[in-house]
Amino acid sequence: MKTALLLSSCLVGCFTLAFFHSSAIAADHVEVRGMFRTHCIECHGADTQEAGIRLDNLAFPSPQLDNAHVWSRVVNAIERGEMPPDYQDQPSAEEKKQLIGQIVQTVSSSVQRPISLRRMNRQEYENTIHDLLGIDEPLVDLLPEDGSVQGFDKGADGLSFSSVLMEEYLKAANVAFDAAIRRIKPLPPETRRAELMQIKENIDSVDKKKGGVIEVDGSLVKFTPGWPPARIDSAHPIEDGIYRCRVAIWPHEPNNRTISVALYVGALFGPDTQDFVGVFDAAGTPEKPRIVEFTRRMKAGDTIHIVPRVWPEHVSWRDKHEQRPGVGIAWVETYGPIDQDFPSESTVRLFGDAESIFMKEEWPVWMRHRKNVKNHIVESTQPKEDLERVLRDFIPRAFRRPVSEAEMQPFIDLAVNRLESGRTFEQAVRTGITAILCAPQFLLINREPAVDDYAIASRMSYFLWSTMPDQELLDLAAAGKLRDPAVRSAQVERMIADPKIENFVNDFTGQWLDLRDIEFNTPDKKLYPEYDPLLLEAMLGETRHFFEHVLREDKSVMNFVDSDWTYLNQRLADHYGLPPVEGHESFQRVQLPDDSIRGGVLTQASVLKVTANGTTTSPVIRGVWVLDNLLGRPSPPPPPGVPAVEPDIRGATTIREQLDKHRSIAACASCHKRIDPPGFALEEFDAIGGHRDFYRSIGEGEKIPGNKSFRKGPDVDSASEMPDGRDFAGFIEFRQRLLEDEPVVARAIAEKLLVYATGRRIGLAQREAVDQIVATTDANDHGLKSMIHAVVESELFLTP
Amino acid sequence: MRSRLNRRTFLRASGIAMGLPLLGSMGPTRLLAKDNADESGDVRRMLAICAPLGIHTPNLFPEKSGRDFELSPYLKPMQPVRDKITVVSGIMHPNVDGGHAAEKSFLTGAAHPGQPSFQNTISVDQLAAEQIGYKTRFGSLTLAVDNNSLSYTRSGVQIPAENRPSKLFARLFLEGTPQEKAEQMRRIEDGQSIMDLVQDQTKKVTRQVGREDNQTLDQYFTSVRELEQRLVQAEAWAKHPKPEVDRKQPEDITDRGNLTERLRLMYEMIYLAIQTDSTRLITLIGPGGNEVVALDGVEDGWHNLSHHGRDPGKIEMLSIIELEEMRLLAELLQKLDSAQEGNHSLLDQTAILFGSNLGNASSHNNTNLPILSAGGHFRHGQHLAFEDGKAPPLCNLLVNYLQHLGVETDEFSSATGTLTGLQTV
Repeated sequence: MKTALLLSSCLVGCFTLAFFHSSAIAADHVEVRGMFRTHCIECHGADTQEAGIRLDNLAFPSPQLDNAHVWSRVVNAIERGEMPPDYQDQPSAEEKKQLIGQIVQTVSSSVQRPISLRRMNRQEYENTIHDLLGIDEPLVDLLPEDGSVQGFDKGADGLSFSSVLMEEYLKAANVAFDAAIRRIKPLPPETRRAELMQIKENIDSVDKKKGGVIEVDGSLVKFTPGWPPARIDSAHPIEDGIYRCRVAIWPHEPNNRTISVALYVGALFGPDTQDFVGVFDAAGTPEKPRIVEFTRRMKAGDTIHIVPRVWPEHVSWRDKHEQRPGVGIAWVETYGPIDQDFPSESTVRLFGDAESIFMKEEWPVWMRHRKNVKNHIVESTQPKEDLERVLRDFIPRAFRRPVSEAEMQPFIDLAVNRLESGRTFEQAVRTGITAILCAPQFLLINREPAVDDYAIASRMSYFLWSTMPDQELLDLAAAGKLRDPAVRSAQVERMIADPKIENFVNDFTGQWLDLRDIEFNTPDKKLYPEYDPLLLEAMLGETRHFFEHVLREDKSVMNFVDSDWTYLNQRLADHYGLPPVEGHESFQRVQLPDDSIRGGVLTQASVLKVTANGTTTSPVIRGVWVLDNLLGRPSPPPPPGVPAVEPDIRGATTIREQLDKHRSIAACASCHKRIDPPGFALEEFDAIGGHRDFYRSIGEGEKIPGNKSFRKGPDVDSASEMPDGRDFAGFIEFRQRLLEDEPVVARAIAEKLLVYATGRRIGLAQREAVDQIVATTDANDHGLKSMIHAVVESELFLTP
Repeated sequence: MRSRLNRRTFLRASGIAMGLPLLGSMGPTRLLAKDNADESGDVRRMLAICAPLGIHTPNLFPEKSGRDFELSPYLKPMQPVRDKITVVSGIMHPNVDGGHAAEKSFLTGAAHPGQPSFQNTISVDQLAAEQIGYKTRFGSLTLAVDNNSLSYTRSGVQIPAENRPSKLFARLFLEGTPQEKAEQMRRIEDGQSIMDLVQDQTKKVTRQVGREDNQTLDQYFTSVRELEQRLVQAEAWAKHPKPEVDRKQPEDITDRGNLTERLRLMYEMIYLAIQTDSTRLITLIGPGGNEVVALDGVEDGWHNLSHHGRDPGKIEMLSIIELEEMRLLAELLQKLDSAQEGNHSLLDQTAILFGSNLGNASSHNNTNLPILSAGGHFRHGQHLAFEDGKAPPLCNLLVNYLQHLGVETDEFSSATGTLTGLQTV
């Protein structure tokens, strides 16, 4: 045996020789070698290596040789019937299955389980600190962007450390600490009201016809989202706090249009991001307007931005025959601050409800509306005792598990040392808390050498809530109950029913379906005159509601491929040409008509927009998207030196013609025969998710009556064939082909969930764990919730 | 506890040079490099700017190559500094693709930034900062007109950029009230003790986990140690007064459409930072969102225009915007050129890179990048035109820049040496 190995090593050169101690060569695995010799070596052997793959000397992975991805390609090609090519002798189904099993087994046993120890990502950091301190100060933007692994910001390799990041943690901890202490006594709550037409800026805007605004029955009527803003200065809070807000709006001259507003809270001017409250439909009359109510944290001087959303758009030069539609804004009120506690709730939570703790007046603060206001700091009549008590209470909460006296001691020593060197009580607590929030026990997840109940509690919580475990999970951990699968299962049900599941819905769809990038482009005004912000808001709404419904109802993940229902509001129903739905404000579950092309995420405008660039669509980008996100097969980057395909909106050539040329290059064809077909099928949808028969052109092409904006460009051709030879005439048939691939789709989604839940890299070696999830959920058509249950029960989730 | 205090004292007493292993070979250094007689006449700097939406290259690249090149439409504003610029065409970062994603690799050269598991590497400014950063109050400045950042640490973490001129000005030149200064001092001191403690904790956790070779824990430990050392430096700098400049703190311009004033203000801050020697390494990611830029003749969002799909009307509007960018850059170059420092102008002392990660924004490709090299000790006044596929990697130019800065190396990322055709003077 050894001689044979040595001999073959010599034949293939010293490259292999270097590894022969620790790695098995495929050619040495008798069955695998036999199959390779019969079916593969002719094109992937010593003489020719098509697609750069050589199998006669391909070694299995080892600690020195990280090539599991090559094996992954081999397995994928065999399994999906792409190899051997159809003009060659085919192995029987049984032979194939055996071969794949042998490869998977050998690869799995030769690589270590990928590590799951990682730091929190910045969203998890913010959520955790919010829960820990009971604050809602934004922290995400203080931290650098996280890297991602296999498409998610949950993996150790993407979540690296640097001194820059450490410095930002130090700053963020200080910001969080400050947010936990209310410095001045709040004013008693009061109502602050703005009658819009009693505010001088609005009167001035009307007088000078700025942005065309007018006054109607004491209301300010605004027509466009732009300048000037509707001023509500006398309703601005004069101190930070939580406010109940009321906004009175009515539709002005709607003429069969809908009149809504988007509301945001934030500074009146400046680049700070605004807090989006929602879209609300205007109703009523100037005398009896609709009153929109909501509660938000506001800073002193913050305003409520009231941004008109008129739909369909009124174009002043075209729609001369009718009055201009707009939003009437009668009045706005804020009531608060409604959080009146002093010390604040979060201060008490941090420092405890002890007799010895008090708020001490310090330096004076000048305020226009109040005299003799003093800033306060937190003080103690027994600083050393309180300092220790505060930290002892905080550390186990922050570390999400019981902590020994010895482990706590250095943190307490540091804080006491600060106190003794002359710092105030509050400063000493600050130092202690900051140190805790920079410590590995706080920042690292999955750091436990053995997975105990507390580790399970954290894993479940960071998976489904993106934050620290709540009291119930920690109590169950303390009672040693989380090692019981039945208890875990009940907890998964509880967690999915909890409002915090929103974190999972938004984060997972944001990354799996790339919805995070949805605002990256604003579609071209000439090509897509119908696009408006209302549509953008509706796109996100549809996909999130859709995903959440699949999740809560445990519907099959094949709904992501095709469904006979979706969630729509008025704007989106119109965009899709479906029967009307009333209002833009909320989404309704809608049964899709039989003849509708919609159904599944590939027909959702959100996905179609993120896979386009605002102007054109590319079958390559969409094809790569489908392969990775629905079929679990990310494409390698293009080989160097291949010119990119250049879009042309002058109406001369279609992207398909260009790509056909491109595919005649052999180096491109091997990947593009997989990438292009889904992309071609999706050419039926434009850059904003509209269904189309022809491309829109702003150069050549037939005129379209009544349309000044664009012309009729070339026809769309969406027919193609799958890499395994199944053909399709257009998108609907393509989607049918995808439905036939249920095991592949289910496996792809299981992989995504595992990457997201465990933070591990998932590859060929984890195949068994992935298949296990698919097999467990076979019985109920791979329900999404069932898959999540299976992920939580997976060995990859429950081991170090 | 005792050993910690001892090490603290040691670090303080020995000053910063001992704290940074990389500086070992450079001998004792003083805090203010300006005091150093050898260097006073020859302070080397670098400024790198990326235009995230590309530069329409037909308007940039001259037809003729060599020293006899004509001024293309975009180069016209550069007329007064023609001899201090080199236009490079035909060049790219090998294996850097992914359209907009390639922005992340503009100064790092890391391959395939568009891939789902992309891992970045150190950017050229940060590599230089490891060696020369200690000489100035700010080792480097990472700036942005809108968002994002070009600078990455050794572990591939993006360094958040400052995008508000008002804040940048405050950091560079404003001292703060005595109360604020005292608080800052306390934070720096406490920060050091905290990092000291966290280092010990990380060691303990590493032992517990039983994975001595774990990359995450390793990085954690190194990061904490580096930050501790940086805080020691910060403490020393905090005791020195900041430079004074003849200008009030600017107000930020919030109208995104006002490209001219926004970019000009950022360039002014950059000029002041260079002139006061507050830093020697600056990166800037330029503007480019979907705002309608307030220039005559521009009616569509910038990002849309860059996806022109060969539509002549769009290209025309795009050219108006990009010409304005070039004009503002030329303004900065001239201003640097007319400021003397010893025997040289500030422009001669500052190697400047202006370019984009997009070669053709409309097709999102990342080849044949628009690249303009200006300033520094180079023999400029030329159009370096490389034939398709025969150009050296763009990182070669970055090696020139590293050498210009006094970093002794002939390697950086994908570089194969220095850039053929760009001679040092």
